[in-house]
Amino acid sequence: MTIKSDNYLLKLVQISQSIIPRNLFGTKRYFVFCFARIAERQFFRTYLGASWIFIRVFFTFGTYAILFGVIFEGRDTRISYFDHLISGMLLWSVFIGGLSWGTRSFEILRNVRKKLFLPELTMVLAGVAAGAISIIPWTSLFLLYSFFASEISLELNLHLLFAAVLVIIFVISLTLVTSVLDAFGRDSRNFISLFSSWFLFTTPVLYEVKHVPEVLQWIVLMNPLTSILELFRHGLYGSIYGDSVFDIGIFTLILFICCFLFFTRFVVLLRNSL
Amino acid sequence: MTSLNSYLTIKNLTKEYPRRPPSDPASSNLFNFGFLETINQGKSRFNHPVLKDVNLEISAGEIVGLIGANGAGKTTLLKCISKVTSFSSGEIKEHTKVISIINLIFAFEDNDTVSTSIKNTLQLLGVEKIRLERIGAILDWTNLESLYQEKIGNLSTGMRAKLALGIIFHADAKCILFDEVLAVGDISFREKVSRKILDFSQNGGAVLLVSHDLDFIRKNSSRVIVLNKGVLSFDGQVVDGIEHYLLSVGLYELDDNFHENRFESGPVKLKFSGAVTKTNEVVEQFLMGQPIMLAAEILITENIELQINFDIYCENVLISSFRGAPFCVKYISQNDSIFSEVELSEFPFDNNYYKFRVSIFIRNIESKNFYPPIKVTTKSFKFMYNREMNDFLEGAGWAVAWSNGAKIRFNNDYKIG
Repeated sequence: MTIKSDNYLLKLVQISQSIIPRNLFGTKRYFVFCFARIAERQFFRTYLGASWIFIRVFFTFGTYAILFGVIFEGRDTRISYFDHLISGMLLWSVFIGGLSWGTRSFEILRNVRKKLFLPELTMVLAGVAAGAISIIPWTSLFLLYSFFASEISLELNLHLLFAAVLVIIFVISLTLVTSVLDAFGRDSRNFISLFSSWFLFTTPVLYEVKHVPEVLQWIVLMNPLTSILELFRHGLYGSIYGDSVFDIGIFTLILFICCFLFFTRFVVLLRNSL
Repeated sequence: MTSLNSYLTIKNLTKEYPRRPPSDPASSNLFNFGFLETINQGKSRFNHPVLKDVNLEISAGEIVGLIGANGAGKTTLLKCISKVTSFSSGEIKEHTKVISIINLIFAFEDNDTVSTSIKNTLQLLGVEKIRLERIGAILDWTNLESLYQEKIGNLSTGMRAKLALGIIFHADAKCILFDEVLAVGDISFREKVSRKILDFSQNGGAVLLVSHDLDFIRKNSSRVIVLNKGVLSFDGQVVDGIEHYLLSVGLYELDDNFHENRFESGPVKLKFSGAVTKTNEVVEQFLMGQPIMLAAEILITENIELQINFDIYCENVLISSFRGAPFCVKYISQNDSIFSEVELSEFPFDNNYYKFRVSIFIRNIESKNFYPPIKVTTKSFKFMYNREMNDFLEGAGWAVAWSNGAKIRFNNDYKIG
């Protein structure tokens, strides 16, 4: 049987139209509006306003650096503990900030969405972007430390970019699911607060994989964020990276497709309930 | 068919809400988990139709008033058009920029200033370049110049409504949909809005006004549509539309003029034969489900377009409507009368007295001028319960079932097209 190329293309277009509902993304103006609203909400009714992101970052860094720095500094590591911690927190801040605020995006914009059209995918993406703004102080801290205090020179390569793309896709994928669930009931928000601490301690953000007792190492290695973080550090410092870049890339892509299909299926119910 | 200057076309729009939402976390408490309730109710869930097969077209220069009782589906229709909510089936085509104002005042953020809100809202409504002149024009029109740096939270509800209207009128839209925005405006502002709406339509814009203020609708609309329990039961001239609405909510007493038998309007003379069965017997009462017919002879003296609408009332309250498609009839001879009948098959009403009202709208094909409609109201007919038709009352949507069963028959020799 031969398939005519135009028919085949038409079929592809029809399939993609059925998967991706119209008006899901919209235009840039919606993104800007949603981003501003969600970013504002982070500092809503505070006297210190946006300076809270810096305060939060320095306090977190100070706490972890003092507690874990004492424990892990001087152990058999290729990079210093501070390099390890800052690079880990850079990626972690994108992940957890994006996930938390992306999940709440529908709720924050609910009142506007009831009166005006806002594309749902844009709402989630804007939520992830607004949540990930804490990367700014972490990046500033990282650059300051790297140029003035770190003894290791940066070996920036393409793996860094690839890891950054992967973590963005990873967090968007999870948020596509949690945001819809959160719109129906706030249980997913409680679920995220529980699992954020679980994720933090099962990802090599605060310590390296080899510092985890051997009995528990499989849990850390099963975590997809571990591979992405290792790839990120490899991109920064040229440290050893054991996993296959291809494997983690394919995994993230499949995860994204599954989560996107879930989102498109259930977001219709959400629109219906408005 | 869509006309060339049509701005908005809605075809067979149906919207259903789940009667019980899939999850209701609000019902959770310490000993009652929402998800358990959802599982228990899952089997008994069914969809509740809010809009049924709505067809509508809004063209350039029109000011269309949309009226109906609470829960008739007016706001839902606007929400569907503005994509705030999805619809179950049908089609909505926007041929120009259409914007709607569904309580836009509540979309403003309390902490934003007036000028920021104007900028944000204009941006959301798709205005590319927001110049100072435009913001100035909005502030000028709303008389809020002195408050441009005031926070929205400090404005009164009326001021917010003014601001919302000012923004909408300056957002470069060709078609605007309003939902009860004048409820909070003072009398001078209402006059101002009236004039603005008129200006807007005279410059080629189209407006859909949703309101319970019949006086405002009467003064400002060029056409009225009535929604009744999700069905578009009337689409036509303002005075007739308002009368139809008042009848539908039981605020009008229907005068029986059926006994007059003969009716006349412009080129049309009509003689009613009465309510008959299929075997042509004149009847006073019917069995539920039994087909009934209202038969008439029509005499015409011009080529005309006819539209026959059919409403049914129980204790002076409209309970169901049928809108026939318009059709053209040609004039052949002054002495030839045309036989026509409206058949109501599968009539599923229960024991009670019902009145019928047939409205015939007449328009000259060439000049497109309307003649006064012929309105015939029957006396009350008694409908008896029919045990065999019991199944009809089971489940939802009996009125839909009936409207599907209404047929208008016409002598085809006289039909054009």
